[in-house]
Parts: sequence; C-alpha cells; structure tokens
Amino acid sequence: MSAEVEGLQAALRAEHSAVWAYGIVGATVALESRAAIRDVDAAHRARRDELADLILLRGADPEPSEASYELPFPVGDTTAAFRLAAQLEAGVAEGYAFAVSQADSQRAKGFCLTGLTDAALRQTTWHQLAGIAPASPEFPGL
Amino acid sequence: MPEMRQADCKTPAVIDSRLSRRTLLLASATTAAAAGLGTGLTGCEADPAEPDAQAEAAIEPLTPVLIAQQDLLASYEQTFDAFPELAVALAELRTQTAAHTEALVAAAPGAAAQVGAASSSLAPSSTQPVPAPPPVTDVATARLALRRVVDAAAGRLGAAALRADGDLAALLGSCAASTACHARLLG
Repeated sequence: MSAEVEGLQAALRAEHSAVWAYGIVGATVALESRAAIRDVDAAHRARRDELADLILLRGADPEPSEASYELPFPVGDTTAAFRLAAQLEAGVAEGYAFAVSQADSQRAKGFCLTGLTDAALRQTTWHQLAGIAPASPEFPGL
Repeated sequence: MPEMRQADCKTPAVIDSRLSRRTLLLASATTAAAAGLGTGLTGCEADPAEPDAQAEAAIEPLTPVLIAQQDLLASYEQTFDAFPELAVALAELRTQTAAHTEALVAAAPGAAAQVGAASSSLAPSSTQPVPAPPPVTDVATARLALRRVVDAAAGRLGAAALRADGDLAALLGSCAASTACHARLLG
C-alpha cells in the first residue's frame, strides 16, 4: 500500500468514527442544536464517501467502519455532547494532517487540507459552545 | 526537513503570488548572491535573460511565508496598541500566531536566516515611504481590518502547504487551519 493510500485510510478511519459518534451527539444535544449537528453529520458522511472514492481510484479497498466505538467519556448532556464533538473533530483533523504528510498528488493533498481546516473550524465552534478556552486549536491535527 | 516541490520552471511554485513589498525587495537584494546560494530547488536552470526568475530562485521556499507571519504579528501589535481592549480579547490568537511562526522558523532555519538578513539590510535603505493606511478610529473597524489580514495569512499558509511535502506540508496545513479559526473568531 502506498504512503498516500495509508494516509487516506487514516483519514477515512477518523471519518468513520466521527459519523458513528455524531449519532450520539445528535441524540444528546438540546433540540435547537440538532439541525446544526445533522448538517455536520452530513458533511462527514460526504467526506467519508469521497475518501472512499479516492482510495478506490488508487486501486485499494477502503477500510470499513467498526460496528461501534468506545466513547472517551460519558455523554449525558448538551455540554458533554459539544465536548465530544470537539474531540471528534480533533481526531478528524489528526487523520487529515497525517494524510497531508503522506500525500503525493495535489488532489489528495488539497482534499485533505480542506478536511483539516473544516475540522479545526468545527472544533472551534464546539469549543465555544462548550465553554472551552482557547476556542481555536493551536496546531490542529498535530 | 522535506523539500518543497518545484512544479514549473518558468514560474517557480515556491513563490507566493501575493508577495509583499518586503519580499520583492528581498528578491532584488539577493539577486547578486543567487549564484552561490543553496536554494533547495532542483531541476531548473535559471535563464540569464530573466533576472526576476534568478532573484526568486534565491529565496528559500518558506521565506515569503515567514515574512508574512512577521507582518501578521506586527498587525496584531499595531491593533493592540491602538485598541488595548482588543489586546485582552484577542491575546490568545496572537499567542498562537507567534507559536506558528516559531514552529515554522524551527522547520526552516534557512528561510529564517534570510528573513533576518532581509530585515537588517532593508532597514537603512527604506528611503521611499510607504503610504500609510487610512486611520482606523473604532474597535469594530480595527477588528474587521485585522480579520482581513488574518484571512489572507490563512490562505497564504494553505497555499504553501499545498506546495510543500511531508511533515512540513502537515505543519503548514495545521497553521493554516488554526489561522482560519482565528479569522472566524475575529469575524
């Protein structure tokens, strides 16, 4: 497997876990935040599918999602759900940063750079909503 | 450190299209030394008929980025001096920007040396005054002006990440992403 494919698989694994865990986030947050969570969930699903396509185009099989994932802490209220969402985005940023470091093609690198920035922006939003300071990650993904 | 990829011999990919005035001055100042200076670039012979290309080839790939980062830090300082209330609210953004700059300096010592040389060599020759921007008189306008500068910096870092390889690409991408968050917070 090429380094670029390994990087894309890492990003895909992060997207898989995000898609799974945003289901928990969406079920936990207050009603007024659910539409925003749905939008983010849809964005992650779209990027997951694009990553799978990029991997297929390189002649490899995209890694499947796990059946379930372990939550890092109990998620019982809206604030905890935002904290989880921020942590998910940090993980996604990590996957994309690794993928950037492994990318050979401009297409894969550009795709992963966008994913890295989007994850950092969402992490900032969730930090703000959870009251976590500083809101912006200093070195997202690293 | 991984080297930047050179995509095109006529238009060196390492040169940001939005070069600052200082960068262009740096390019002129280093033209004479171009022949003996290692650039980290391979695969292209500089055309003697193209002095601009020679000057650009003498610049380390990250030099324009580091100069822009220094300009960004200066913009924070100027804004904080004029509006101390923003210094409290935005101190963390400035701190993170300084951390980005330090990390980039550590990742590209050659570029950092060029930036230092440019700063010292350009100082005495600044005989042509730069038109001052219109004075900013309120906090909201100052914040908006700073946001524009930060937004541009995020774009510049992202473009540099696209041209870089390996761990350096990831570092530049991370700095770009963090800076994009700063722009969001300023907006």
